Amino acid sequence: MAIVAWKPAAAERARNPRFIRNVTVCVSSIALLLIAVLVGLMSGSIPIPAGEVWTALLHATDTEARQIVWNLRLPRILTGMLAGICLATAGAFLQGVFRNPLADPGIIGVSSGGGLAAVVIMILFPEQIAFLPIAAFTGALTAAIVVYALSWKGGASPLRLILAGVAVNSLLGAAMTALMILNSEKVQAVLPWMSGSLNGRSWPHFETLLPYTVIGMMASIFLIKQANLLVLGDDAAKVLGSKVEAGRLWIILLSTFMAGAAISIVGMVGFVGLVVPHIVRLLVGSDYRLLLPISAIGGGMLVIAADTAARSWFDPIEFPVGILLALLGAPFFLYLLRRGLNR
Amino acid sequence: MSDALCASDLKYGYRSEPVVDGFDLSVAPGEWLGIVGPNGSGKSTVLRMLARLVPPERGVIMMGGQNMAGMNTKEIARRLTMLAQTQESSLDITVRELVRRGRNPHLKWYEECRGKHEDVVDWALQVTSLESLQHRSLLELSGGERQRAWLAMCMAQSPETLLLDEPTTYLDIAHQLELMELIRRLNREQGITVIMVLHDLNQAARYCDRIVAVKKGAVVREGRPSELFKTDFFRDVFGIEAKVYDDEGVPVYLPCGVVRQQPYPEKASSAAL
Repeated sequence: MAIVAWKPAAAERARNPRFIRNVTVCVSSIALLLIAVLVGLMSGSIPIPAGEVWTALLHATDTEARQIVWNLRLPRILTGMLAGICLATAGAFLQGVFRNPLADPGIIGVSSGGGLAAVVIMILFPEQIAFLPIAAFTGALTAAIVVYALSWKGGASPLRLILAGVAVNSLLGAAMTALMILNSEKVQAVLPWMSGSLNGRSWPHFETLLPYTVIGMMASIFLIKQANLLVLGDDAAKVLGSKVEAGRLWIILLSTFMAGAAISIVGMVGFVGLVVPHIVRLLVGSDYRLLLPISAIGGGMLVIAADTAARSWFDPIEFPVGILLALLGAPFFLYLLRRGLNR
Repeated sequence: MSDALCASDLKYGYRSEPVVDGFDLSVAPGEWLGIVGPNGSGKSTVLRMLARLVPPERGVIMMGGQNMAGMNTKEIARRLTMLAQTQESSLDITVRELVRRGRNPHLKWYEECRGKHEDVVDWALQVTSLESLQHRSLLELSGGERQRAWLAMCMAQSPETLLLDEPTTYLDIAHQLELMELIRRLNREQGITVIMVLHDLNQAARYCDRIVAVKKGAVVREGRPSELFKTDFFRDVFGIEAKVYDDEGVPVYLPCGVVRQQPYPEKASSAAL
């Protein structure tokens, strides 16, 4: 087919009215993340003013402020940030490949698989507690693979994946509950983990999670194009020459990898993977080139903010961040749902 | 010159019941072919097989003399595209962004739509008269505009062959004709081969060069609209009585009623089972 010579309308292209809004969202999300980190470093049972935080960060002194900022708050904040990045990235990807706004890392069994493995370790083999992250990560990965395999029938359609996910989730959830009821005297140790908590997270946790996050984010760059095709629908993506099943499998694997790593360190933190990509989509639209990085930043920011609130509001009790996220996330989600219905 | 598309002896079935069986078709380059037939005749399934969305159980599809089964997905996507009846409707992306994704088969995995690819996007927006809407979100468009945006995405693939599955079903009559006129322009001016499943037989007669009628998964009639549109055609294929008029060389049919059939002879035999 001969394409007629056509004058490039470069001027017209540049006049994208979304451009300014997108730049604003980018800049302000990074700014909000930095503010969340700063406020997180300042707040807690012992408030530290910004100036002292700054000195404590830059100078390795022996002061109390340095102890709190450098050894307690900073690693905890950074661990929470990485977990938020991983969960929100996974959620953004999964909502796209399932073309379902309710998808989150839980839907493919990541939470229930990781949760069951962690509960088994904590209740049945408490002496092996050091292996908890590895066990949770393996459990999450295994559950996701089982869900994928169960839904395969000449291809894994989003609907079958969701149905298989629901079935596997309820099975694993039942096993988890049974274990806890049979060992009710040990449940106390499990509860904070179950609701997702950053209590006592320190540099080793950060160092464990960092490579997973970095590898995951780098790999996700290569899957952006694939995700942008999959959201058009399976048929449209195939017609555009995309290998739909392979692309979906890679995206599910990456999401499982990142979400599994996150929950193995911070426990079953919910709602970040569901709510953050949702809000970001309302702000910047469905293009993954923007949706993904901004969801990642937003996820990091939300976990830091929620953990800061959980630490400061309920002082001296250290409230698990996951509970606060669910308490705030659920009403907000209902609000979004109503808004969507009215539109 | 070899056929744009040529299918021979296609078979496809859901479970064991064949939906398409022994389907043959050949389409010349630059032709506009209409596929018509009653509900459940398998015409959409045929189109999906031609677009390689479903693999045929049996039979061969050749594109420009090459067997499609042996071709790379992207290679096919550079030459053949399909516009479906309905599309994903919740996408919040701009028209231009949608059309840019049409360049995917021409890009290597690490490439972005830039430079000369953007020029093709400009061209696709121009031929579909979407330049003024290019920065609108798909959510803000009317049904007709949205269908045109998806057609523009198909055009950005710079295809030789365009398959369409009843693309006008959910459009009002003015938007139906607008889309048909647009496809006619693409067919005539760009030389794109068009294969289209249609419901509206009068539109089929007006726009298509040739019509193929499908019933029970196989071609039962084919020919130019003026040869094909006779009362027995409507009786045999659709089971209706119809009058056919001539409108300056284009046949127009007027349905008058359902053909009276024997009162369900199959029912007795199925009861015997």
